[in-house]
Amino acid sequence: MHTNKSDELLLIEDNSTDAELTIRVLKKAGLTNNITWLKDGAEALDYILRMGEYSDRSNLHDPAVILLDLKLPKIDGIEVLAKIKADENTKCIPVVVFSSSNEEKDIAGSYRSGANSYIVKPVDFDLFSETVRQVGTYWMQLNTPPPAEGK
Amino acid sequence: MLLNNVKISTRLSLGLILIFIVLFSLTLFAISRMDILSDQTTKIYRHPLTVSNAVLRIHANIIKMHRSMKDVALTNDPAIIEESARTVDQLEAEVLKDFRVIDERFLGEKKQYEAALVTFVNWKPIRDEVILLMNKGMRMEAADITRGKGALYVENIESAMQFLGNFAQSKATEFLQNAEQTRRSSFRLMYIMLTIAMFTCLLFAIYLFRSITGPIKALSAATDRIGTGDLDSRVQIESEDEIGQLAKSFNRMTDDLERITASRDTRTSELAQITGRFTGLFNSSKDAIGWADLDGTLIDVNKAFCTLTGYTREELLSGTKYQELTPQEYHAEEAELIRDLLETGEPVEYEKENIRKDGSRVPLFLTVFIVKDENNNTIGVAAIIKDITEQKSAEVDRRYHSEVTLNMSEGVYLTRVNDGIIVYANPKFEEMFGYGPGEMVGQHVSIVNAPTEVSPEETVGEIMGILLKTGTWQGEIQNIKKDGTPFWCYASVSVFVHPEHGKVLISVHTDITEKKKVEDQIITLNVDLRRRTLELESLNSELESFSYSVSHDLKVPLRAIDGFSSILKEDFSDALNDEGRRILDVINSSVHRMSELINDILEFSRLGRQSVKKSEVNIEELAKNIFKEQMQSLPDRRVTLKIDPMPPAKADESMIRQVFINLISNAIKFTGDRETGVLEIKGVSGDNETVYNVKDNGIGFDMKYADKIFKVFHRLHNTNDFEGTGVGLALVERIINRHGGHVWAEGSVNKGTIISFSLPSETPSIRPNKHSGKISRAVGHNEVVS
Repeated sequence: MHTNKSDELLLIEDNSTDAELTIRVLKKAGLTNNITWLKDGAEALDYILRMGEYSDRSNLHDPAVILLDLKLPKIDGIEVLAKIKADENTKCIPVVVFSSSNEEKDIAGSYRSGANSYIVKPVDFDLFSETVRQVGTYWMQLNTPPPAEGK
Repeated sequence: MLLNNVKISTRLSLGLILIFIVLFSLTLFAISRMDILSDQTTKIYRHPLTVSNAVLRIHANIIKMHRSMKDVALTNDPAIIEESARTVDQLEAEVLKDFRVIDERFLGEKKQYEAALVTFVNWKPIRDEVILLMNKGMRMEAADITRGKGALYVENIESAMQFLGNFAQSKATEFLQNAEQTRRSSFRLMYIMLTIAMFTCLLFAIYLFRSITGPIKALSAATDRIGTGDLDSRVQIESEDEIGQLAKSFNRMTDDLERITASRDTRTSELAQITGRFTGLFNSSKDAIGWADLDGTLIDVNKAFCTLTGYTREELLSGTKYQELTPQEYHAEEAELIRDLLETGEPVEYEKENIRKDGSRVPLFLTVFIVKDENNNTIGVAAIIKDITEQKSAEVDRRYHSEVTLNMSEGVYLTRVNDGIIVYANPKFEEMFGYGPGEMVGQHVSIVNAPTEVSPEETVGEIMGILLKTGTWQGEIQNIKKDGTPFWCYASVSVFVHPEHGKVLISVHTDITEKKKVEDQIITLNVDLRRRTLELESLNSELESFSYSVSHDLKVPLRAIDGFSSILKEDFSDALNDEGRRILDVINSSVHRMSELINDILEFSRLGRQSVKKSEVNIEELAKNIFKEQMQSLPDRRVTLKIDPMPPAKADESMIRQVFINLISNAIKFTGDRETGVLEIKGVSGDNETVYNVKDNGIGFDMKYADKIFKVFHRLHNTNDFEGTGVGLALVERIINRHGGHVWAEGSVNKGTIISFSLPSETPSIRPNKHSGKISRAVGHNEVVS
């Protein structure tokens, strides 16, 4: 584990098949093994904001990137996004919205709430694999994350 | 002023005399100054000049004498001596004469004159001695004396003469100066006096002018005032002169005039008072009054008469006879009546008609009586004429109204306000309430009003309040029939004073039971409609969210199927035989198709929600670009595009772009089995709309399916021959409909397809979808590019 750079990818996805396919592609491409998968919005927020059962979460670093689905149980993706971006401690974490929706209102809403990127999930698995690989490469390898502010 | 009471002629004479005196004294003064001047001038001539001349002559003569004496002394000839001596004596006499002149005129001291004279006289013995000596021949001695004593004497005389001359000269100068001084002072004085004289004259003239013109002006002004009728005006001139006299006469005259005018006015007003009573009556009477002589010729008529007949007074009084104004049918009857009048002297009253100037008839009531002169002779007849048009028409109105009331379809009844008793009910009202003829009259009004509820909105008291305030009341009211059946009426109530019953309420009732029923139905229907609309709205939004979320959620298992079947192929390839791998491929291709369908459904549902943002779109360029893009992915195909210049469209660019993408890709797709595909795109502007069409030479379609071609998911061809989801044309229709246009298709099997659509030229109003239903002639391939 680097001291300055997190290798954690946080996947927030309620659908287990989508999650499995995503994790498989990421791992197969050797992008990261440190993937945290959370299945609903409420849990995700607790985790990110270190609340509830995650209030004494041990890992020092925030995830390098959050892959966020929009259709989530309990608290939906846009709200999760807005809360992350509204919190001083977490607003710098890159959030990539990863959704099946190609709807204008979802895209616009995500960006308005501070999304760093919006990726439409292709149905075709080849395209899907390629897309996930590229997103992983970009955010886990090419992108320089914000510096951790002494916690 | 002092002179105010002096007559003007006296004043003028005084003025003239004054001027004369001034001028006269001036003249006298001038003459006196002239005298002094001439005196002084004379003095100069009398004294200094005379003296001076004498001195000069003496001087010359002495020189002559001296020369002669020298001649004597120088000659030897006794004759010359004698001659010279004689000359000297003559000259001496001359000199002495002049000395006498000087003695007479000299103004200086006599001593000097006397000294000069003595010197001259004393020269005589010396000359005599010289002459004596010469006669003795003693020339030398004589010459000595001449040069010595003689010359000395001449010199002395000369200087004495010089002195006298100088004195005279100075005296002359003195005189001249005096004269000059006198002249100057005289002129100065004369100027001053002249100025004073002129000034005095001027002042006097001004005074005189004013003292005369002022009163004349006042007089003239007063005349003017009186001329304009101000008889109180008087002239304020107090002087005793002619103008004062005139002013007094004038004021007296004005007094007289005023007195005369006043008395005339009094008489006039008395007269006016007397006559005014009658002429006022005559002229202001609303009734026409006129009188005529015994033949019927009008002598005088009043204003009302003119109004009544429509003629002017002048027209009527220029020989018109009253018979001319009367229609023929009244002549005999009227003549009879007038004869009676003349015989009996008793006024007659009758009705007749007149013909007005405009030809219309006016009904009249006349009172005719006899007119007599001061001698009590009958000279004519006079008439007071009433226009009874209104009475006549009121009579007609009454008849008309009662006829209306009897036959009208509304019920009418009258109620006395005092006691609430019904005094009249028309047949319809009786029928409406189920009473027999006349049965309601005399009963209390409460028999018509429903006992429980007088009116839904108003109580009777309130109705009465409104009635008394505004005079009318309208509204719906519940009434009750004779048999006790309640029913609704629309009532219009007003108050009026009946000649027989006093204040009454008149109510017009319409039975609105049917109307009420229909209204209730409408209300029920409306409520129902509103409920259904709400249901539909919520259903619609449910449907929207359903299709949205289903489309998204559908993708997840699809992705899973595709993903896991791919993983199977990838990771377990060895465990599968060819058939197994083929089956996996079928699974994959089915997933692709499903995914396309889902995308098209999403697009279709999105179009229903998206707003149309119109701008001007260059269709020609748009179509060309789309064709080029489409052909890029099909390098093996040969398709030609024929495109004419097209009018631009007012449309949402991204939507209209989708329309052309779908139509062009369809056309390319369905010409796939042709060696050369031909695409023709046209656009024609009409009055209200522009029609675009896309024509191909492809496989065409059977016109009997024309009504299915635009339906979602409907396909006319096998997926194996032509791929597609069946949403493309449905999308086109939805877009065109949302633009206010319509779309249709034409074609036949193997002969190509024409898809046409129209767009309104101007801002579109919502119009019915002409395509859907019977107007759609279209049939065609229902295949669509995804």
